[in-house]
Amino acid sequence: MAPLPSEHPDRFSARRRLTRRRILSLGLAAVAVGCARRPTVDDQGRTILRYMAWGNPEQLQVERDIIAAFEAKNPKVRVHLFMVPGSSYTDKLQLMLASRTAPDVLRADHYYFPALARKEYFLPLDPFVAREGEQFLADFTPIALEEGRWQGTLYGMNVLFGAVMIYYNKKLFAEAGLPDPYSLYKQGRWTWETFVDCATRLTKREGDRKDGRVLQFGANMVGFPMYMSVIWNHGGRVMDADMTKLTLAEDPDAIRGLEAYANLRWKHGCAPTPADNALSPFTFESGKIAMHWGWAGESPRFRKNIKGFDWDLVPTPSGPKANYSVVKGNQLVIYKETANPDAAWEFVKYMTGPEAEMLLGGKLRRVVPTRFSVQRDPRYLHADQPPYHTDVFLEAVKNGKTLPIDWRYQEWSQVFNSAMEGYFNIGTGTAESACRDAAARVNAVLSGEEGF
Amino acid sequence: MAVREITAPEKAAPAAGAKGRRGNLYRSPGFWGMIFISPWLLGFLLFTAGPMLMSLYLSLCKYDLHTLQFVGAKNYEVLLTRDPLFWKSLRNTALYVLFSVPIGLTGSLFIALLLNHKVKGIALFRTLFYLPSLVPAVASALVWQWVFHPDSGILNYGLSKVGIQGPAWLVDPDTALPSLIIMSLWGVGGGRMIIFLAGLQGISDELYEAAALDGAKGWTIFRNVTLPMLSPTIFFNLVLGIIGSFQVFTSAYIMTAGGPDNATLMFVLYLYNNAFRYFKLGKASAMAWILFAILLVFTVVQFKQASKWVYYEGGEKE
Repeated sequence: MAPLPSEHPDRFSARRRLTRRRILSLGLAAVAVGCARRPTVDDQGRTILRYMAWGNPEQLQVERDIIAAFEAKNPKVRVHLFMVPGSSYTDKLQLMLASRTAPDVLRADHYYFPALARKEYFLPLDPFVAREGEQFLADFTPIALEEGRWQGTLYGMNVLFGAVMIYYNKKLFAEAGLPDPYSLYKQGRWTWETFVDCATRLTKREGDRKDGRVLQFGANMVGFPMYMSVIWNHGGRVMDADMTKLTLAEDPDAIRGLEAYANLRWKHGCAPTPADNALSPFTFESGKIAMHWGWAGESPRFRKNIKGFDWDLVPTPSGPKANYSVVKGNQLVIYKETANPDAAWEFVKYMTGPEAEMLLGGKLRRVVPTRFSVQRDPRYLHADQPPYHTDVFLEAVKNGKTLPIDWRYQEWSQVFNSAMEGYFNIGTGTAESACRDAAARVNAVLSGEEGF
Repeated sequence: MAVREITAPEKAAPAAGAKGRRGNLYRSPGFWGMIFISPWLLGFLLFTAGPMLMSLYLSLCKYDLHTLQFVGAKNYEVLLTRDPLFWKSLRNTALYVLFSVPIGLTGSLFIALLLNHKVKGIALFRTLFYLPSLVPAVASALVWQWVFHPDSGILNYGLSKVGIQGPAWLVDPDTALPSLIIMSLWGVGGGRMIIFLAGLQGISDELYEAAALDGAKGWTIFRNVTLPMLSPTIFFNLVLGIIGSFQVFTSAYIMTAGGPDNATLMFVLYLYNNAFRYFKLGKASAMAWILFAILLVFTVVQFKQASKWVYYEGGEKE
């Protein structure tokens, strides 16, 4: 039989060192190391700022360039950019904020910004802005500033500001003998009817038969809230002013707008159904969609992928009652518990400053500048790569309207989309019945007690 | 009851001082046993038992990762009386369990029976049937999206060859849930089949020989020998199958995100949405405990019923 440890005092002399107190001390030390806050100063005495963002490689490279320029101007500050995949960004962000491990500066998508600002995770920026002088805010487009406010307090500076626009395939328009939509827009003829007419003519079926397999669609369809301009331009609105009630079902103009949009798919047959699109064969890049509703930020991807045809931009069409565009950005915010609020503000200021906007808007051509000084700058206005219609970016801001996004948006928009699924995606029911159903479901959520 | 008298040396033991106690502790094999299993024990306490107890407490709170407020049983009350999506997700999941478990069990048993034959190249067949279960769930979900494509999917192509116009599968609320049930067949050749195969190989040849001598053939042997002898394995797979099917998540999350119109909103997907999309962690925790209760009831009922149909070689299981 093997001897018990106690029978070999020499071999097990380690027991003298391994006391319970020491085991406990080691455990506590491990916990302390694990919980230790990250250093805020590097070994050369420079302030370390952590900045979290997501994006495609091209855009993140531009952000790295901006950071390098910032560090050159601020040699006592180092910015550590850490990238998180877009698909898991929001989860990570929320968990970091909740666990008080958030970076000093972070980018928040506006879809989530009001909900996060409401929880007071971010530092109010008004005191920093006040230090910059009265003229500081005068250079910003008011609508872009407005997105960064929560209940009157400025918490975020708008970054990667963009609008929903229409990317169009010039080759398909020319082949169909249709006038260029940009020229129609310049002539004031880029209306909803013209758009539907173009989309219908640009839809091609096998053998030109009505029941033939579709080879090419006139336009894609986007989800809520990207199509909001159609409702607004028909004179409708979705929510009441304080965003406590979905008013869509009580507004005949809104119902008409919604119906006009769904008709692209179910009446005119010029936009793919979800079944057509299940494997994404109809994409703008593949040349099988003539007009693509999309965000300004999609242009770097198109520039990289599209080789076989020319393309450019035109605003979303005007409606019978208005001419709005959908605009939305991300907010650059400072975490409330940052150890270096002043350095963080300097970085936020630089990231949303004219030089950074010139890189993102001029070089990458993916944002609508929020600063008037950039919007007027010849280096921005002159494009040497697509999209060439820089004025379309600017018109989108001029006619821009922000989306009805409040702190309960994630919850009610999910319910809204479910209610609309039958009408939009399967073609059942009417616009009126879908709106009534959506209003009943969403208003039940909004009138219910928060948090349940 | 006899009370043992404490003897003098025992009484004196504490007086021997802490050093003596420590010495005894190190000599105790139990102490070293605890030291060696402590990584697992700590992991269990910190990452399983701790979170379970925490989620039980959270289920009685309103918690959004920011503020925590004790609300008693309100989450349970809201779920059971005021949340139509809770009942919808429970109904969807129940239907999924109702169909996918029997179909899956039958399919796995059928393949195991086929692979239990002593034919040439059987090892290759066993590998081939097991391969699909090695494909990551996300990748197989993407493949199935192709299979279910209304126009160019292989399923509708096959149906069109026999004159049937296939449905829109994942896009249609009427066929989306059946699509996920069909997709669950992907796993019939996996671990469940291996367990059946092991069960089949554990049945003594003598029983088959005896049955053959009595003139029994094919179906009679299967019904009277194979099935009873395999009943503990079937029972095991049934219990795990029901638990696993109630927890279905990946296919619905990847392929339909719960749509169209919540037709594939599964219980765990709705739990996930509440926890990580709407940050209603109290409500999500309450859902988790409701699911635990449902599974507990199902499992207890199955164990109670097991004595009626599960045969244990060497005597009835107590």
